[in-house]
Amino acid sequence: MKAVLVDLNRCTGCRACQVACKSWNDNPAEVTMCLGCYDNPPDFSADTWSLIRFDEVEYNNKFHWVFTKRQCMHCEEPACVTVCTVGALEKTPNGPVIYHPEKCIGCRYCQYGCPFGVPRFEWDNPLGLIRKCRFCVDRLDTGMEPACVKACPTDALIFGDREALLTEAYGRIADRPDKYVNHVYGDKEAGGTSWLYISPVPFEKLGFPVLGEEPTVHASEIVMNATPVTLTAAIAALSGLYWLTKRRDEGMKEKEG
Amino acid sequence: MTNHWNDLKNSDCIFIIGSNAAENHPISFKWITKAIEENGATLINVDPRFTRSSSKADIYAQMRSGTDIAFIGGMIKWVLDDMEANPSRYNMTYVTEYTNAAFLIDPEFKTAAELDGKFSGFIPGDDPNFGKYDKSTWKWQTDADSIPLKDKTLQDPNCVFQLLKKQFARYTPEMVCGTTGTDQETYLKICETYARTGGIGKSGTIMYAMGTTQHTVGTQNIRSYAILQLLLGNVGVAGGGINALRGESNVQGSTDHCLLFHILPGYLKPPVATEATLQDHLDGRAAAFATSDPKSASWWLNYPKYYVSLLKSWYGDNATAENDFGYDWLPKLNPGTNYSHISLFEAMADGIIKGLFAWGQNPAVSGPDAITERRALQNLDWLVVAELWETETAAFWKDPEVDPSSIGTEVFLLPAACSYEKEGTISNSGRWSQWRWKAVDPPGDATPDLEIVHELMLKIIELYETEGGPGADAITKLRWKGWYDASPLPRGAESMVDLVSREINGWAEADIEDKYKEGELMASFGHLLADGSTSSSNWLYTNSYTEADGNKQKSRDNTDYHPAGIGLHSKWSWCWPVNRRIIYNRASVDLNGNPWDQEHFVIRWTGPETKWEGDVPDGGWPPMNQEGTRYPFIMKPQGFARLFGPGRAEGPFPEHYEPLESPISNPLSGTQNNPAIKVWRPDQIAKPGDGYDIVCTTYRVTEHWQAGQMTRNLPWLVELMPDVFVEMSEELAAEKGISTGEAVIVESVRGSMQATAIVTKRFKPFQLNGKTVHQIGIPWHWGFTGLSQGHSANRLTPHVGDANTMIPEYKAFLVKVTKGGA
Amino acid sequence: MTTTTFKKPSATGMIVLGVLALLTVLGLITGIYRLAVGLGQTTALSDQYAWGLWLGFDFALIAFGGAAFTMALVVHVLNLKKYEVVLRPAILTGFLSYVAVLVILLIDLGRPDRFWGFIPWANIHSPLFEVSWCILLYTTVLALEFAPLLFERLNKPKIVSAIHAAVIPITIAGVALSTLHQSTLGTIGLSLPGRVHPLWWSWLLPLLFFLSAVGMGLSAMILVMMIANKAFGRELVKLDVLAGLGKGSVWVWALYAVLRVGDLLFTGDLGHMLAFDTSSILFWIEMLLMVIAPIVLYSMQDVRKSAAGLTVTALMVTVGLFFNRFAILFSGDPIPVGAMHATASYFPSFIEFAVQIGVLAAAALAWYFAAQLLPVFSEE
Repeated sequence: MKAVLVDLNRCTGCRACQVACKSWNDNPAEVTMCLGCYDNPPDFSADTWSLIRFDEVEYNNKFHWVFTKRQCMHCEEPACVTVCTVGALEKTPNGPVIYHPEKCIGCRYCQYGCPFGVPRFEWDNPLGLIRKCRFCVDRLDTGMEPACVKACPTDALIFGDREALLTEAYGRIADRPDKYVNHVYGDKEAGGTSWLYISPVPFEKLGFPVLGEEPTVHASEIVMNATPVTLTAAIAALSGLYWLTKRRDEGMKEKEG
Repeated sequence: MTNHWNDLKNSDCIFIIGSNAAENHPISFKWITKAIEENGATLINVDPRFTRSSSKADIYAQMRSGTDIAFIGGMIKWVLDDMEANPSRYNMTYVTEYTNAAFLIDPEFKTAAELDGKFSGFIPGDDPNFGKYDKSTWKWQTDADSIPLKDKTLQDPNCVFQLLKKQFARYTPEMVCGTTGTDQETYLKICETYARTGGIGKSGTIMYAMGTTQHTVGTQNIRSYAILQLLLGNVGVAGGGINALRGESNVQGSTDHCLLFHILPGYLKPPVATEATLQDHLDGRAAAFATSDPKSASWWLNYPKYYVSLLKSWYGDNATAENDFGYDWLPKLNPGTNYSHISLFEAMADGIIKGLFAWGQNPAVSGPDAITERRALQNLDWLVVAELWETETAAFWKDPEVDPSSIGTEVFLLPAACSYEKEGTISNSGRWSQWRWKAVDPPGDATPDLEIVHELMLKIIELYETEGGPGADAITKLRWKGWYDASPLPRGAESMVDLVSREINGWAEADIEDKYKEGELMASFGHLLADGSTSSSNWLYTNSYTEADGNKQKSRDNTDYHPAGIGLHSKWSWCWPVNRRIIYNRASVDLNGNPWDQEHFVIRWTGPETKWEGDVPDGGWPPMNQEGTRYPFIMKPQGFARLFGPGRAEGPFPEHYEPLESPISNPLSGTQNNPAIKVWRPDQIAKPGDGYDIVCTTYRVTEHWQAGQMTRNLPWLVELMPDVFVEMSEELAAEKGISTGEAVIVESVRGSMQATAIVTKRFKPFQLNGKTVHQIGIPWHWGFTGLSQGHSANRLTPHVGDANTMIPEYKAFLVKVTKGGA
Repeated sequence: MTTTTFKKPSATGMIVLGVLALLTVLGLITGIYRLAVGLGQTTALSDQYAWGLWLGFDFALIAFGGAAFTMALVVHVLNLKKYEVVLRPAILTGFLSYVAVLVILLIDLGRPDRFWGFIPWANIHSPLFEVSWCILLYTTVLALEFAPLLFERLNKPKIVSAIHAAVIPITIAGVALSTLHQSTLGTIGLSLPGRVHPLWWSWLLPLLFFLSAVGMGLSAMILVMMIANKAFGRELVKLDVLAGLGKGSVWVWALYAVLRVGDLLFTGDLGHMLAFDTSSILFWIEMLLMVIAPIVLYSMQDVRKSAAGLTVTALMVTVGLFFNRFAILFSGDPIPVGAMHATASYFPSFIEFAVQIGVLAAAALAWYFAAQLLPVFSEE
């Protein structure tokens, strides 16, 4: 299982990764305007799959300007894969959560299901599809690392085996507890993700959702798994009810008759 | 740079000042990150604003634009005081043996501390605040052999060390922080932390860029870093040095080949009209570098060899001993006249200059006082622009604020090929000259600059040959026609650019003893001669292309061959001089030739047979304690690095002066501004009480580059940074009722502009001795052409520059800010 | 085995029908336009609010259409023949509700040309996959339950008998399928813990959705029949029959209330009820209209004997139900934004309203004409 470790202490916010993603995937530039901050485009969209967020944070009596790369988290147990009506999203054994555009019906359930707000829709296309980061699965297939990782000048992004990267992440935290909060985001969140983060400030201050260790679709999975039982029980109960009421009616008729 | 990019990883303490390296040299942070994580380095950043670089720093301090000398001066004072109290914390041998700290100075010399901000010898001009210096007191006392007298105990009141103390005695932490607006506790922490790099075996590096240089005191800003670094023994060692982060990918190349009026390729000097003959010129240089100390190499004494070789490369067989190698044909400068950028545009504005080549330059956006400069272009009869895009300069007549019917200039736009569309070298900040190959063909008629110049010159030569004219020989005698376009190309060259590369390296122009045959490539500038038997278009680059190794600039072996693994990568391309990666490296060893820092040694003496190991030594002579040695700072006539440096226009020591437009009176002295600068348009400078009370600076962003031709036409970059903006503190925004994202107008005496406000915590008002002073900053990449358009920040900047280099003061001036816009 | 004669509408009726027709046409035009240019240009939907008015209505209409399975359960399974007169109108209501849902779904889908996608491509983990299949199958069942009305009118007694013979299995299939998809709509909410506020999110969501569908079905028939009685100028279904439905629903809502509040207590989310923020206010409105109103009002004899009383109560339940279903989409946080300055807000566009209202108008018109032309009601 492949993963990427994002070290927010190394990122200088140069956004080479953001442009590399656009370049590799041939995604067009959006028309943007300065909204009073460096962030642009302001959000994921059908054409923007990877973004740097700029956060000015006061933490532990120190002022931080943190640059966070956001993209699809490629969860270990993706909510989008579970909820997609036609199974157009698939978690591959190597890590990437890929998308089969030929199946997508555009129901947009995945947009609702994703706790990170990743999948985006082609609103201006009458035959619109969902689009999101693909973990450069075409590059991975030829033994290359994702475009964003390759472009990063400071090795803020490193690509490798998930287990090894987790060890590296916890190692860095142990080496410099003054520089990192003691948490690897993505280790356990929502069942674990393939994009792991270590940071100088708490993750909530950077807009990361606070998530438990269970996948967000945990509850619905249990209920869905019970569907055959539910159906069988319903039919049985209804049949039973019918039989009971019929018997009662017949009994009453007998009495009358 | 004295060092180079990869060397940053060796540092114990990295000091970024006058630069935003993470922003504008993002790849450098690869090495800085290594230094921090693998070498335990501390990162210090000083900047008026909390930048992307500050975000990675262990210690960040804010400092008002234009107060570097106060800041560093205070650090110098701190180090000097600490040096006297605790000399064991420092490398006193380095200070006394390698710098001129021990030199005794003429007792008539007075520091700025004694003369209320001026040094001895000031001669005021028409405006008594400005003038020039008679430098006759700025000299050392010498013995009968003209060798400077020294007091190696550093006690003599006239020794440089004591004078340095006197000069900076006023720069107490209170005084400094009251001037710079820095928090005192942080300031002292920086002094302490950086001073630790003065320990033997420790290194500290200063990374700087335009934030340092683009001031009326820019040169002295750098001098202050040099003094600090020399006191701390940081020059010539791994992880140390004075490191300018060059802005253009090949500006180092352009300065090496000296495309500036006051230098010739290899930092030689153009002739002045008073130097009638070659010998007059050479004598002048010989006098400047004369030394009678046998231990001083005074390398510039080789000047005649480089000069003649240069002339020989230009005029070939037409340059002979009889005709002074063509010296007569060279244009001569009028003495005392300045032909730098600002002067040229003043001359254009006055109608003196009638024609201009703007070659890959866009002064309509990047020039100071851009509106004045755009107006100056209107006076030209003709303008030739060689560019990749139709820039604001090429389209100056399409400026929405201008009526084209009133302009008579004939404009030619020559489409040029970009760097991927042609071959050649690019010299980076670390002096590495790296060959670049052609990736794609240029589109349409776009042509590489080399070919454009060649075509132009062939035509110009033809015109001079048929029509004659003054100075015709300077053109017609060039080794050009029948040389660059010969078929086959001369001396085995494979293409025109290959020929030029060889020519820069240089050839033997005649057989030389049993060393060279005529037409062979020179192996080193050490073999160049002054008798016309050698040629080289730039002596610094001799050794880049040799018979033995071919074009070394093409080499791509990325092994680190250095025994200590300090990242020299000596076979990755080639650097000048003679592939020496860290210059002044003889200062990295003690008097016995043993490195101060064993773990990160640069060179070390291994004995009389095997001599030096490591980097190319900065002179192969034996160590200082042996016969035949030389002092480490070989380019200086005395061989010692200069704490006291009489070469600059405004003083042998840096002294804090306020920027020409400043919100306060100079707290350090009664001399408000650098007295040696030229103020071109005094009525275009804000005066106290004019209402311009906010300090403004200009800077760059990662996403855009220089005047924006390339980046403002690239949709993916325009997407990231679509509009020009002005960053301001929350406090200033609250005062003016400005919310983030709103349009604001910024106005200076010279012009106004509109931008989007970014209200941020990263700017904080400065507290200067009880007075609150606000500062704002604007990226200057925008202009009226391209995919992303906006106002140029240079509409606001003053037409004034440094006293030595004339580099404009883009970094500190005064403005007003108001809410609203069109 | 009933027939009806076509009764000409009054002047007011003509106006109403005319307006409904106009709204239908408007809905048709705007719907076609949306198909031509895409959702971005015609709706206020965005990446932060990917589901809006249409999906909200769909959720609610499915519950409203639960009238069909509820009445089928009551009449055929529980054998309460008193309510048989309500059965056919319920099937009609259900059928038209489901058709309306399908039309809107088609318009809302990003790829309407691939509406059939769930047939070849399966994802058994997806609640929406299950809902799609259930609705496909259930609409077929509804069609089968509706078919006798058509075939009676077309005088095909053999076909009618054949269908009648299978009425129990068909009914059980229909109720079972309804149980599944009504509850799975709740499972959709279960799958979106971030989007659903704790006052609504619960492990009991599937059960709560099922129960509220049953309750809604009962009140739906009250509301529909009160309107139909008014529109046709006579008591198509007697008041006491409808009152009986209302009284029956009291038990359903009481069970619902116990489960809902009990669950909040158990999970410690009771405090949200008293938070006096937007969510708690909406919660109270919903509880008042959908749960408290029927329990209190349907229990009162005076209400049950009054046409107005029954109508108003049924209307309150309907509105409350809409609140409840829309809460699944809008009570929690919107879909997260990537960077700092993306704005998130949603108010349906004119076209969204036009299409929705158009479809509802079409359904109302179809109900009216079906009631006129098909043997939906017994002869007087």
